[in-house]
Amino acid sequence: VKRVQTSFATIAVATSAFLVLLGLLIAIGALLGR
Amino acid sequence: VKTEQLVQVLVADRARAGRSPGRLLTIALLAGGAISLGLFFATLGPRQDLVPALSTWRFDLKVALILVALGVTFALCRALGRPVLLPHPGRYLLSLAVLAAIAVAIELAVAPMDTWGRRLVGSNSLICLTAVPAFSLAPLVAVLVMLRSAAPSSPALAGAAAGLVAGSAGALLYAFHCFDDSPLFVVTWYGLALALVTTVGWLVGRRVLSW
Repeated sequence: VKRVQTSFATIAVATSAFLVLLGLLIAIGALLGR
Repeated sequence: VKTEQLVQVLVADRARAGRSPGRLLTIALLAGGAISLGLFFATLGPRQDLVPALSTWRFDLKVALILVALGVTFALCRALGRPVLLPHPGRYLLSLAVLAAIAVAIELAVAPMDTWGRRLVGSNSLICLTAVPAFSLAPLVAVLVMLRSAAPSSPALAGAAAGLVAGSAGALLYAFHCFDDSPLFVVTWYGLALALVTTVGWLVGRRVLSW
């Protein structure tokens, strides 16, 4: 169970980082596109 | 040697050891990345429509995915550089596989079915397969040199992790030239290039990182 929990935690951290980066890039794109 | 003397020697060694493995890995990646950056500007250079491309979700998704790959493989390389056996190193890569699968699923849902083949093959696949390993070479050498000063529990796995992190760095540079932004292309061809660099890292690491 602990192994599965750790795997989910790793996926959650990577997904959160991915979403933050994606949001940041979209914001930069929108700023530069003005 | 008396206990007090031994403690003093150990403390002196610790002070000399100085920088943490994470910091050393960062320095190695920056040094190797700087060489590759020079190579990138001397050869391919960034795509001409870089600013308009930043406004498209596919380009943003490509860069975000590669940045996460760089972060995840950095953590994996740092963990595998230690003399302690890492349980389940594949867990790190599982998160990348999940993100890649989500990106591909989004593309398949959004893009018309008759364009899937064109998007998968792209127009830059051969350049991708040569440029990503080429831009990865200097970071790979720098990371392997850094790992030689560490004591990895598995030289082959540490070498493979060095290949993964160096390949991600090379892929990040190439992503700014490549105008094939479809997740179908990125996952397939960037993935293949990354596998190539990882294999090289595994083979070289097995030889040069053993202690």
